[in-house]
This record gives sequence, C-alpha cells and structure tokens, in this order.
Amino acid sequence: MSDEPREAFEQLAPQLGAAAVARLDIEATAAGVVQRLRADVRPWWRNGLIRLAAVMVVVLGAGVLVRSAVVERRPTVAVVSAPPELQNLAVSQLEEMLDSLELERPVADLVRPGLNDLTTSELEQLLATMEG
Amino acid sequence: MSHRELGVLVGLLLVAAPAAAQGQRPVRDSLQARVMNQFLQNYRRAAQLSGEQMLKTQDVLRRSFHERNQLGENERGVWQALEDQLRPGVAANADSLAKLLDTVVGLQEEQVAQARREQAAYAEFLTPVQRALLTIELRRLQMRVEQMMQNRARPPMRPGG
Repeated sequence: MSDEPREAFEQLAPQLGAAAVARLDIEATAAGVVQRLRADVRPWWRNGLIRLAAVMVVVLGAGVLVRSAVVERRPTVAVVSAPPELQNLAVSQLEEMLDSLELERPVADLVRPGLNDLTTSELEQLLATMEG
Repeated sequence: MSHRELGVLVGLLLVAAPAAAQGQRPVRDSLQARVMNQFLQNYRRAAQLSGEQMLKTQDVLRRSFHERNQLGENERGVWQALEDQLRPGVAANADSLAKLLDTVVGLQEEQVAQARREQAAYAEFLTPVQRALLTIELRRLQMRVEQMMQNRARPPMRPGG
C-alpha cells in the first residue's frame, strides 16, 4: 500500500461516527430508560403469583402452629405391643379374654393345673376323649 | 320344726358333708388312675414301647408327677401370698413382696431343672423319637386340663354374642 491512501484514512478516522454522536440526546435517552423501568416495577403484593404463594405460606404456617399446640396438649398413650400369646388370637377370642380379665380370678387358681384340680365329671370327660 | 329337730338336722349335715367328700376321694383317685393308665396305653402304642420301657416310663412318670404337684402347690402358695399382699386397703410389705417375687422366679428355675432331669431320666431307656412323642403327648394332656379349667372359668355369653 502507498502512503497517500494511508494518510487519507488517518485523516478520516477521527471523523467517523461524529454525525451519529451529534444526533444523540443522552439526557432524553436516560430519562426514557428511567421512566420505562419505573413503569415495570410494581409493588410485590400486586403480583398474582407472589400473592398466592404468600397466602399459602401463611395458611401452612398457621396449620403447623395449631397442630403442634393440639398435639402437645393431647395426652400421649403408650402403645404396648401384644405378647406373642395374644398375637394369634381371633377377634372373638380376644373379646372372650377381655371378658375373663374382668372376672379378676385369683392367679393362684390357674397356676400349673393338673389332674388333681379336675372334678370327677371333668376327669370322666377327659377319659372319654382319651379312650375315643 | 322344733329346736330339737333342727339340732338333729344340723348335726346330720355336719357329719354327712365330710363323709360325702371322703366318699368322692376314692372315685377321684380311681378316675385319675384310669386317666393315667389310658395315657400310658396310648403312648405305648404310638411309641411302640417294649414291656421294659413301659415299666420304666411308668416309674419316671409317677415320680415326675409327684414332683410337679409339689412344685405346683408351692407356686400357688406364693401367688396367693402375692395377691394377699396387694389386696385393696392392705399396706403391702415391700420386703415380703421382693422375697415372694424372688421365690416365683426360683420356682420357675426349678421347673426348668426338673424338665432337664426328666429328659435325662427318659434318655436312659427311650430313643429321641420316643422321648419327643412322650413330651408332645404330655403337653397335649396338660393343655386339655388347662382348657377344662378355662372353660369352667368362662364368663356367661354376651347378649346377642
């Protein structure tokens, strides 16, 4: 490249964009941007989704508070697992057992019963089943 | 009825009641013996015992029943004493209760020891299969007795039940 065009370019370069700069109204542009931004910013309570979420948080929080208060006041009942002897009984048998508990029969009466504890009619009945 | 006639009647009742109770005893003893005899016959058939095995089994069983009865009597006495201590309106004696509870556990240990002694005695002349059969049959007999006792204690049926 010769020196002439190069010099011409160097003289033209500072003038590039000068017309565009002259057309710019910076203050008016900034005022417009600020005005648009202000128009977009609404208070959060005017946003439907946020309002719904806030209502849900309040309702759930209230529910948790009420529940904890009720549960704390409710008397706790200790759940005792049934002994193995009871776990295979049918409902009717368990009802029978409940009835028999109400009798409050002396424990000593039912400790290791043997033939000596049977009446004569019970012994006869037992003998009949063994002979059969 | 005059006072004299009433006195004679009461006297007769006082004499007759124990006599009737005593009269029941031989019947009970005889029935118990028949039950045990039937038990042994059934077991002998099931286990195919020889004559000698049968005699030895009978001997060990007799001793074992005697010991069990003794243990049962002792245990009932202890339970009775425990219940007496806990009657409403009676101040329970803590030391007595602790001793009674120790006795209950001691008697239960004695039952286990007795069961071990019995098995050892049977093992001298019965095979394991014969011993297993005997143990099962004895358990069945015990369960029948307990069932009869429980039926006796059963409360009246509920209305509509």
